[in-house]
Amino acid sequence: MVKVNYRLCIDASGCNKCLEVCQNGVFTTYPTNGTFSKGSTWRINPTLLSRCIGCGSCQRSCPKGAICIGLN
Amino acid sequence: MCEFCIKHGEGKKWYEVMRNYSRELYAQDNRDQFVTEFLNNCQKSYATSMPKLDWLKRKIPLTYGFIRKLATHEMKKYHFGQVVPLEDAEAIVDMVQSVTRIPCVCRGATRGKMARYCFVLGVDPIGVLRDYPDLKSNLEVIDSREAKELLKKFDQEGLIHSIWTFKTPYIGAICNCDHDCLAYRTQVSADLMQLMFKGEYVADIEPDLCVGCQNCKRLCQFGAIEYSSLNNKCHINALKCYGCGVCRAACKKDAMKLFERTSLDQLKGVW
Repeated sequence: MVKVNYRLCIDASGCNKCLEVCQNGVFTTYPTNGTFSKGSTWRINPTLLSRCIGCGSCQRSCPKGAICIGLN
Repeated sequence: MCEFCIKHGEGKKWYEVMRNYSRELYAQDNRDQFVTEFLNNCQKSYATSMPKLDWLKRKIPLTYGFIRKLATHEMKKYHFGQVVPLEDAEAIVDMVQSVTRIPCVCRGATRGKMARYCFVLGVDPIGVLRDYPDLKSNLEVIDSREAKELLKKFDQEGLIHSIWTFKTPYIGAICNCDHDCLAYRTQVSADLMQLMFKGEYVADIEPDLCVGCQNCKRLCQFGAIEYSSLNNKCHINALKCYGCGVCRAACKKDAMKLFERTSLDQLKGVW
């Protein structure tokens, strides 16, 4: 179970480290106001959790320490 | 002939019918608004709805089975895709009024990057997307020769070409997809629902020509190519093959051919 702490990960655009390291394609990112609208902040979303193998690479790669992997 | 050819094909393959790209069709049913809203909201709506379906699949399989069917049924009405091989994609580019390269919304969501892999057909994207200056600066209207060159380049990289509807039957885009495509991830990686249908073809290998180099196997995005070490030959699992034809670009011996999917009895109903 992947959890993202949005108080630590406020805007993912320009970072996207977790998207890069996850080889199973668990994450997607989306803009809070709409894709092409001005002033959108981007959020990381653990979308396809059934693809997660619990390798922990996202947790290790996150510069803000915002990702936590739980047991279920 | 697939179900879409029967419904929208007028006796031909449905994506060979001019009407399905026409301005008249585009002007109907508020498609302008649909395209605008779709491009702007699809990443968010994907990220909010897919985790629910994924959860349902793991926790309540029976309900999931029902929702999966319903979701595919809905997508067929509004926005679904079908795999097309290179030569069909090239023929489509020749038929349409304009081709515009746009940043792929899927890769935006899965990699967080603007990468111009997708072609919007016929739609005037500068008009449709007038309110989004960031996007507008990333659009590029290209002629059919440039589009074909790009398609060929993508084909050699192993990207699958697919056509996409905006309120079926209007065909508004050709995408060049891999593992970073949302539809691919949903359907092939996670097997959550069907929204990208198999092409009208299926590939086959001429065993006498195959030298067992396995170059095709490395390029196949669908795991449809199997290899026998003792025989030193590759073989195509027709049940898994999407008929994208990408394997042909890798074969130095020209051993790959595409056949009409309907010519094989065992593939009846496999789309």
